[in-house]
Amino acid sequence: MKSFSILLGCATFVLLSVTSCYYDVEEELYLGSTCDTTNVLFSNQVSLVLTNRCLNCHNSNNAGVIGGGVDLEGYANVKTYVDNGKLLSSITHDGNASFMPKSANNTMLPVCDINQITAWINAGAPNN
Amino acid sequence: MPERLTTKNREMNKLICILFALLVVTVSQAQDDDELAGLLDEPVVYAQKTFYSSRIVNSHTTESIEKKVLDFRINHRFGDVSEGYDNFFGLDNAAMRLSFDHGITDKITLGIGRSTFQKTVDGFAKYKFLSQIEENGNMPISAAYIAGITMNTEKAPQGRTNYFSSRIGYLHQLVVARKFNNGFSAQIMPTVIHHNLIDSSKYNNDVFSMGIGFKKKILPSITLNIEYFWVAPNQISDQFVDPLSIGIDINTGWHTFQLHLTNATGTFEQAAITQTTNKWSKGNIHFGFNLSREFQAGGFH
Repeated sequence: MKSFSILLGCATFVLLSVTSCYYDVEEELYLGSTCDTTNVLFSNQVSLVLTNRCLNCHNSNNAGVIGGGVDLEGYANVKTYVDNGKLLSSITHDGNASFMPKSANNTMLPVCDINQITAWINAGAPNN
Repeated sequence: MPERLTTKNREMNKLICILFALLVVTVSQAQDDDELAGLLDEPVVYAQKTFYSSRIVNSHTTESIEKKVLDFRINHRFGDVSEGYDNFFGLDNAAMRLSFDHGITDKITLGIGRSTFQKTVDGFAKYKFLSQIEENGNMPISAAYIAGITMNTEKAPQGRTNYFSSRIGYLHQLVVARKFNNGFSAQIMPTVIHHNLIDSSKYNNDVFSMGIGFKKKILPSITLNIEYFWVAPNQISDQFVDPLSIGIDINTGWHTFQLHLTNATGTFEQAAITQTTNKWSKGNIHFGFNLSREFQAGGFH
């Protein structure tokens, strides 16, 4: 039993000392990379946010079930909610549309995501 | 590109690892001596059910999973009760964690889980190296050491070099518990959490915190549980607050139901201790439950 304890202690030590800790800081690691709101493309930045944060519920199959009837799959559907203002209202939590995304703690999207989508909408929400 | 890991940090890190390992070895040897003394006369009686489950609410207890037993857990946290009737007091939204904890021996548990919070996969190893002795021995406390690792599996931002290491976080936790009598147990949980990547140099990669937990029996199979973690100041962003959870355990043999109110929506340590944003003072609390079902695994006894 005693030798097993020592073995386990050694195993713990080895396990802990070989796993690698890093001390990275985002603002230092990505020095100078600020939120780029120029040249925001529907096919790039906007689609990434939609895919990661919206389409789990608001896809064509689920929209009627858990997405409140709001389908954001594809440019044409997204454009509908850009034009009636609900997309921007929901992600900026301005109270004119049901706030999004819904999650257990209802935090807003990252500021950069909101700024990029706002910039894209201000540029006329092109299908680019 | 700045140096990603300084030599000083690496040495510091090793030092912490060595200290933990030494602690495990010395204390487990001490216990062997106690067991030996007990064999000479009367059998040693260990304290049973210091806590009903291997978790209080989010935090580990000193309870380990028995050898060859598989504990399937569903941790569920609903939305904010202050959303009122529109979202049925939060029940329209939910965050959850599915996990399997397996007893390798009666003292060693390995676990793996997946949470909706930042799509995190987590794994841990837990070693209960001290067991409180109630009769024919001298050990006033139970203690366990937990080492954990987490991996965020969300899609990374585009347009920059992303490192796999940035997804990883670590946990080191010591849980020291005492069963004062059949109705009341208490524990403390000194905890170190490491994030490989943080937002700003204003904050720390290593976050130190101290947790306390209590169990008070209110009916034969029902206990009241409280868990709180204090995070030492100036380590994480001001938007994050200390997690406080209050709940009851209902024990029915192989099942344990845990119902609670909490301000933490993440149910693993990295999320609950260092990334809780909701405040009790503003009524941003969440109803939640943990469901634990234990199975015999690896053959029958």
